[in-house]
Amino acid sequence: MGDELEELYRTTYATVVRFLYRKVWDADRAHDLAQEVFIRAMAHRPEKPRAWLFAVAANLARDEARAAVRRKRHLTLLKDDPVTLPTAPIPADQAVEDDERRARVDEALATLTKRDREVLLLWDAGLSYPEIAAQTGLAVGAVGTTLARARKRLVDAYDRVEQERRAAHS
Amino acid sequence: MTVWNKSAVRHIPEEELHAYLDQALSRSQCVEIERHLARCQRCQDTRDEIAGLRDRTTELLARVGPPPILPPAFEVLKTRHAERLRQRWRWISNSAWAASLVGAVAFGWLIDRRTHHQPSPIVARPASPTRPEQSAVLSPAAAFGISIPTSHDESVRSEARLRRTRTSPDEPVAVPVRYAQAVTTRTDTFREPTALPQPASAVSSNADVPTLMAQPVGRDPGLKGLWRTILPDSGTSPPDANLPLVPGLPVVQLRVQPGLGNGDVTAVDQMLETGEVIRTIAGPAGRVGSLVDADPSAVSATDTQTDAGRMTVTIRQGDRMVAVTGPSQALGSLLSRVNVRKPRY
Repeated sequence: MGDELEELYRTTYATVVRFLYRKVWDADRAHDLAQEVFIRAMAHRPEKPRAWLFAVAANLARDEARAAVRRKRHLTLLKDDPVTLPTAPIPADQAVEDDERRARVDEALATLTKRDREVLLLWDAGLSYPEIAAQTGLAVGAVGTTLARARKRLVDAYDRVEQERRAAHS
Repeated sequence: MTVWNKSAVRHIPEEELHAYLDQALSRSQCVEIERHLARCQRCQDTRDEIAGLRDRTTELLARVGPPPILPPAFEVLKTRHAERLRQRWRWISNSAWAASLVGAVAFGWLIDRRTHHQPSPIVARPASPTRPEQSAVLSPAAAFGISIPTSHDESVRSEARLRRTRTSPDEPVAVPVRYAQAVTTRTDTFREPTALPQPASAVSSNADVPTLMAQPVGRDPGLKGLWRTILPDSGTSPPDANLPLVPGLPVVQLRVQPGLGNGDVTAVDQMLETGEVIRTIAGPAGRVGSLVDADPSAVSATDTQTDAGRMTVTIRQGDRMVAVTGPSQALGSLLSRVNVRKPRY
């Protein structure tokens, strides 16, 4: 189990981080959560570790999202505070472009239904159809249908957002 | 799955092509699809379109990947896991310890409550407010070969020794201390005379020579104030050799009144062969004197006997005092056996 998990750690850690990052949108947090996932795997020693890792990662990301919502509420309350916060330093052009691109993908992902987004991210993380089915509760045969719809919607949404941005610039 | 293959007008559904490209189909399904693709241009176009869509999705999602960071070594995670296990074990052991402590306190409280309600042959007797009219100097304490601990520290250590002795592993489990009383002990319950008249012969001239006073009383000294009740683990052996008591007699009850700054008072009840109880109270002279209503200045009286049945004899040395109460007939012979030797520290 130990060796198997270690091997899985080497091959899957980056994927788990990427999977988490697309949910929490914070690289450091994604790494923290990914390490937490593997530490928990050491304690639980799951029979199907790969599927288990992503299931736990999804749960952690969900908890993280709830915490983020709470923080947002807190920040909303703080907005009434007249204290002027220092502005962040302006990043380089490349960083701005990357951020904008990431924001557009994020926006496009947000247009997907929760299930479509989950299936798409799990597939992108390298999970097989049976594994995605086991985690989402879908029938294996429905995973392909969901994926087909999710991919199409993501690309359509991204193109739409891109067009809107160009229109706004022009 | 096979419907589209048998009919010339049917084509491969998109989700089948997605699954095909995702390598999620069985070998036989793949063979079937490839056979159809080989002769269906429309399905080939759809396949290419889906492949592009798939690649596009992958590319879009890759944009939102985290910046590449080297993962920590697996050993780091192992260490964190081990530390977490240790913390969890520590938490469990701490919880178990706290639970056992609570259980022990509760058990001790129950036991003490049960024993506290048992009628004591001495405590049950009402205290007489009158001071004995007669008191007598029997003889110097040196006649009994005794010496009394004089320092407060010795008294405190004496109690500590008592408790250690009772909890020695070769003896049964000691009855726990009465915590509630120990916590609520107040100093104002002690009647410590600040200007205790000291007999000139006993204190000013030679403070190290114990002064014995026999006070015939018709009662036993009431134990005023709050006492920590400590029952002996067995009725036959004294809990501590240096505790002032009569050796050889079974200890019925042992009580301690903690003192703040001026030493503790111990009260030992022992049972005679006749069933009567003899009590030995030791501690600071002021507090012991107030308990037995002894008048430290009344050292000139000369009576040694009383027909009231019980008698209190006080032995004092400087600021320490030992008071022994018991049947008049037995007290005389027992007094010489009272062990009030100075503890060896």
